[in-house]
Amino acid sequence: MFKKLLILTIASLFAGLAWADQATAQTGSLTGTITDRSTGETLIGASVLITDIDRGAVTDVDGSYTISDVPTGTYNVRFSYIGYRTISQEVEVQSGTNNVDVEMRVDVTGLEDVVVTGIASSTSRAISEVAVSRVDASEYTATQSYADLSQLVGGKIAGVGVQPSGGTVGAGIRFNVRSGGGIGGSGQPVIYMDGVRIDNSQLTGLGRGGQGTGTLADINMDEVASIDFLKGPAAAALYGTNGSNGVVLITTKRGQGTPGQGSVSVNVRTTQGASDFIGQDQTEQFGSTEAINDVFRTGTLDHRSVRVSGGTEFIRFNTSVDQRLEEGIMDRNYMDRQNFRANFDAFPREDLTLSVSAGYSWNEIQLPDNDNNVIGYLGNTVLATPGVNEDGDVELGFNTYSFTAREAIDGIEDVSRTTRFIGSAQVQYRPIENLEITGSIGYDGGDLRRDEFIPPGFFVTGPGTAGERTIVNRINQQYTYDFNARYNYDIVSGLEASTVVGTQLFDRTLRSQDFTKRTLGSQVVTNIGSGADFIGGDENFLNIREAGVFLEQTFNYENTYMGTIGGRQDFAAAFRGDVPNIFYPKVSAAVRLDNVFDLPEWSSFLKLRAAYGESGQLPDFNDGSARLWSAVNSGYGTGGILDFVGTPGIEPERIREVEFGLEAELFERLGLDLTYYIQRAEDSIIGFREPPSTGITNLIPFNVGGINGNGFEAALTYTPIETENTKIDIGTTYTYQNTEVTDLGGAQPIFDGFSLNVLEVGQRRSEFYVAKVHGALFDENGVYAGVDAESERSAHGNPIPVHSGAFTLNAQWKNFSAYAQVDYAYDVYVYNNTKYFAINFRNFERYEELRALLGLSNIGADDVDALTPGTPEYESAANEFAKQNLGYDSGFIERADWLKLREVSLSYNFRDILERFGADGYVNSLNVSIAGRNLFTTSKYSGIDPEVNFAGARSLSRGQDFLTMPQPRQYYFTVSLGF
Amino acid sequence: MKKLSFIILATLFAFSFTACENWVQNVEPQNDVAEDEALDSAEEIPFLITGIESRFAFVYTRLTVSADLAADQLIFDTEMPLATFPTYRDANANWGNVGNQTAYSDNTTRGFYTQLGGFRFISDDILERITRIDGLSDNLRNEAIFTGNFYGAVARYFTGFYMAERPCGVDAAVGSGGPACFETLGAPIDGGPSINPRDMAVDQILPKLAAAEAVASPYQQRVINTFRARMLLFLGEYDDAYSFALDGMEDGDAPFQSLHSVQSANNFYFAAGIGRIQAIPDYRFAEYVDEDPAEANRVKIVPAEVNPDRFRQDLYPAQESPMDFLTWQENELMLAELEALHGQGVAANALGRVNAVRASHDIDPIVGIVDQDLIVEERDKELFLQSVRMFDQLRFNLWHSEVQGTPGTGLTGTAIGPWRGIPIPNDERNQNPDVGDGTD
Repeated sequence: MFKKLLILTIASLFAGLAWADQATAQTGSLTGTITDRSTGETLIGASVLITDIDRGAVTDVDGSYTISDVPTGTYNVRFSYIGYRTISQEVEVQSGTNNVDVEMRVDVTGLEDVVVTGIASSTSRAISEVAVSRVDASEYTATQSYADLSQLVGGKIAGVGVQPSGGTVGAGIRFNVRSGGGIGGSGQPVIYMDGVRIDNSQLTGLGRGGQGTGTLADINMDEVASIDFLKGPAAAALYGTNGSNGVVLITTKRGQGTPGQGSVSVNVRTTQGASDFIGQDQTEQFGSTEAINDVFRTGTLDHRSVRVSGGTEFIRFNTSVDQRLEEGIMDRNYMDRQNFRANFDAFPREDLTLSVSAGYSWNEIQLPDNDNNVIGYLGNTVLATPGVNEDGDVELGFNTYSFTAREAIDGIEDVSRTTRFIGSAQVQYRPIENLEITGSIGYDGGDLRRDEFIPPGFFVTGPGTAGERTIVNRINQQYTYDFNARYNYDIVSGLEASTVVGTQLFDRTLRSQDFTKRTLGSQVVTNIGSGADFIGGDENFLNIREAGVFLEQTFNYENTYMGTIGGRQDFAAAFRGDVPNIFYPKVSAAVRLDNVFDLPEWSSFLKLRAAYGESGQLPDFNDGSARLWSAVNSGYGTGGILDFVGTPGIEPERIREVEFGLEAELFERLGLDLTYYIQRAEDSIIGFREPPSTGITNLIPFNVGGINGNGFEAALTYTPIETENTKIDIGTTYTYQNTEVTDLGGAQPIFDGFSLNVLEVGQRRSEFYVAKVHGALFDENGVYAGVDAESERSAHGNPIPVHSGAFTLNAQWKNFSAYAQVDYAYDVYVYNNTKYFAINFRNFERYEELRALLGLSNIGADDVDALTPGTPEYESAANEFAKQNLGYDSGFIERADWLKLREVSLSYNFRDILERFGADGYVNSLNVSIAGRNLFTTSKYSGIDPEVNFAGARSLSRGQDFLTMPQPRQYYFTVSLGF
Repeated sequence: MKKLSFIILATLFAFSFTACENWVQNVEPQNDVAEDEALDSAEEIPFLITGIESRFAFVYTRLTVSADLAADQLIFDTEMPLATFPTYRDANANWGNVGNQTAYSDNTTRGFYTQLGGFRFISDDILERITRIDGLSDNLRNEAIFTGNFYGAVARYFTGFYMAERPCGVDAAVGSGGPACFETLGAPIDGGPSINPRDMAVDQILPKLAAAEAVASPYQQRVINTFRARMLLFLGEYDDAYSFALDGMEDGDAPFQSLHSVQSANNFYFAAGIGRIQAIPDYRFAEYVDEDPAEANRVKIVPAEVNPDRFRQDLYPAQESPMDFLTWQENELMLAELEALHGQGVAANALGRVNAVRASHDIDPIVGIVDQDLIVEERDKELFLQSVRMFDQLRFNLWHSEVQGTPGTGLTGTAIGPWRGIPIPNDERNQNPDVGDGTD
């Protein structure tokens, strides 16, 4: 039996070899030229691949290609080129020369862009099964200088809003991604930079107000190549816990190598800019207009960078040095940042790729005091009481700087200095065909020192005239470890599959300490040791670990039917309790209808997609503990108090999301991307406030909450003109989002610190929830007699826009290019706490005018004649007056729809002139651009800036303007030289 | 090779589950908190006792500012450049001219009310905890018993006497005054219904003080008796009040105080002191000193640095300034009042007691009859900024009718609001169905 089998096998082998020999005996060559369909220009470096036998070629300088010795037969041949639409067609290769010329068209709608679709997967947009969005950062940073992610990303991605907490340089930002995932957590996406999960904290000082600094301010946008967004659990499930608010993937620039030859390019760039205050019209509503305007200045920007990149076939590099010195529009606000980056990719063998990303930053940020603070510039100018002027008249807003003298404020320092390293090393190994194993380790380590100094000599609330120094040190170290393996294979002809298994670990250690001393003996010797009185000192320590194991299986049938199924098991550290662990599944599918049906010619691409995924929010580290005690200092010494009551066995909250999408390309010029999503959060962690009389002072966490969200996202791109010299792209994004809290587990409404924003069943997240004021009450004579208000609270609008979006225009004509972006928000509300307090200090002119109209005592409005009670004019004034009663908040919640001309840039490339004068041998490119930001704003909001929030970028308080620094108008001039 | 690769990957995948679970648990422990059971040892009892004392100081200093603003000892003075807290303004106006929601979301009240509950909780907790600890020395056990019971009684006194579930009087706009308003006072313990001052005293405070007395030193016993006398005097139980006061604090006894430090500052420093003047003493205190400069020895006021036309309190000049909670002088004035006005003991002794108190401050004696006006004024001066003025105003029906403050500014001169205690905040009302919305 064995002998027969052996003979049969040998015979088959010989027969096979004989057939193979015969088959290779007849070959032909495939040759042709590839050109641009619009211009007719030949395309150099386009790729031609016979996919069935994995053989290919690249077009030469004439746009020609040749693939020789191709066995005769019918093959699928793929023609591709960056920025052009890939063409796949069947070609019959016969003996001899087979000529196939191809005209390729520009991929105006970006369907060929490769985007990240999961933790270990990326694909072209054309076959993606989930809604993905990418900002090609280098396109924007080429002509404009962006301070941070909010400036670069804002308005460019449907479903992603980025809200600065204020206009202070270096202040934090807050992402609003879709409906915001679950109730727990910070509501912020997880951010990765070259595979490193980076610190996205908001750092505040020790109780003097202000916006705090955001750790994202350390990131240099000029180093960024692209930013991908996975906007919800449907796409981000494999990122596991904390991915419910989406995942932001930042990829830095890498070097480019040319096969067969080395290359180096150098780019030198400088941007000079200026920032101005744009709220002069709004400050006129206060009595102290001049003093308010006087605290603002023109801030300057000086930004310089040198980038060197290049490589060979075996190694590529990109390195840059960057310095950005930016002043805010208020004294004592600047950011002085220096960044250094070195990225390397090495290809020592065909099956091995080594990549290293290393970024170092040194960042010094000085912040002014603002917001709810008596030693801030705005606090001391807006909250000014009336006084008697030189003429003996009572004047509104006369007593400015009555809390703190201007000289004292000018002398206060609040400087944060951060050194930070973000780096990663990655190894990709392909031990066998189609198997790729990837391992990486990433590190984000930041050392911050914050110095807060109040000089002695001037009276400042707190230390009086004694002076005070505070030092804060914060060391944050976080490691990200990734290991995954991907195997690609064909199940049957045309059905490709891919299996990914992997694990991801995250380890964060945060140590901080602070120390405050007071009564500094000298104006010039001011170290903390010179402080006579110890005021306070403390430390904080946190070590958390998270781990996940994931599996993903994808299928792709002839780029027509695509499907993915996967899941992740997550684990997380807890305070001496059970390890929270949870499984997050995902499934997605897409179908290319243009490959299934014969669509009309004007519809060249049509895809439907659907995806479902789950993600979560971890409980806080201590949430699973029963009772924790902490120490307090007092006049009796140090004692123990009950600090926290938790819930043993608490689970991460689970957020489910399903999304449906349609993507189309019409007339080869119009791209459409529509997505509708539904989010359901269960087991959301709700902090139950026990009655304080129970003695429990914290909110006890329970898995009882629920919130629903849904939304619609649309992105439209249109290229009406595309010729050799001219191209115009028009784009628009639109976002609709809605939320409804469905369950608090019986808990009472949860309010922010100012009792304005609420989490309440039946209401939207962060809804303004206060007692409504209808107007005035009148006595029998028609005289104003008080406020007609509801006794119960009700909804008054939401600080997160229901509708938002942007319009963009990108135009190119020869060497000239222009970009413009208009952002808008509709159905959004802001609480004008600045106005509230201005009224409280009798510094609001309209309020005093109303008092005069009603015949009440007023200040500075004596020339206004009192109205007659009972008349419509009197009633109208009384109703307006009642709505400004300080006992009620509803009158200060304002509709704040806005529209901003966010960006305009004009750029000219001098390459033709360089060629004409023969300088192109020395200088490859010379680009000059001018740009502006926040050039025009129109809003229903009566305050200065409807986008800011006094409570920084994290707290439950949202949409509250309280003496908050507005965003400035900015102008830039950039010169970029390439060698 | 493919098969081998898959086997390796599958094995790694399977092992990674348990490895992950172990790895995430292997974190460095925190050092800023400890679990409850870790404190079940004799060595930790002093730490817990100190914690109770610290909460007493924290609550007392904050509650006193609000209580004296609501009464007529402190004025929220908008002429003071740093007077910005609307909550102080609201307390000064007895939460008039604001809706209930504003009164109930008063962040100043929330700040100390929450900690008041915690103060009561940890006072009770130590009594239960010592039953779980073996090997506790008698001294330490007695100290824990005294602390838990005495401060548990103080916490209940603050809860039952200072907080209010509803405004007083039929006229919700302006309220009323008088002893009947005691019925509106009170707040819950442990999530139950509000307990009025009388029930709180009889059912909870006095039994706790009795338990504390059993292990108390003679000085502590006298402090307890003065405390008992104060509450019973407020409640009109003059026989018992007199009896306890006779055994109360004596000349030479140190005042029973709350202690403060820069890390746990006397709240007056930032509310009505050098650190930040938002509230100033009512103008009558300047008149007291003007009439008799020796009164400055106990009515401690000085010209306000930022506005010398006005005075600020100087009783608590520093963050570390201790605050008297019970003194022998108060005990003596209680005896005087009980003898002169309420038929206790010998009425003729009252004058001597008043003068003994005055003498302790080097103030000349007075002559004549000890009547209600004299008692009220002496108590006003002697118990300056110690949070008892509101009870005297209620007992003697002396509640002011207008908001006092800087003439011509703010709410000064407008009708006072309806609250005669500090409104229980929403944190309690929203979570505790036994506490009404204040309109009952």
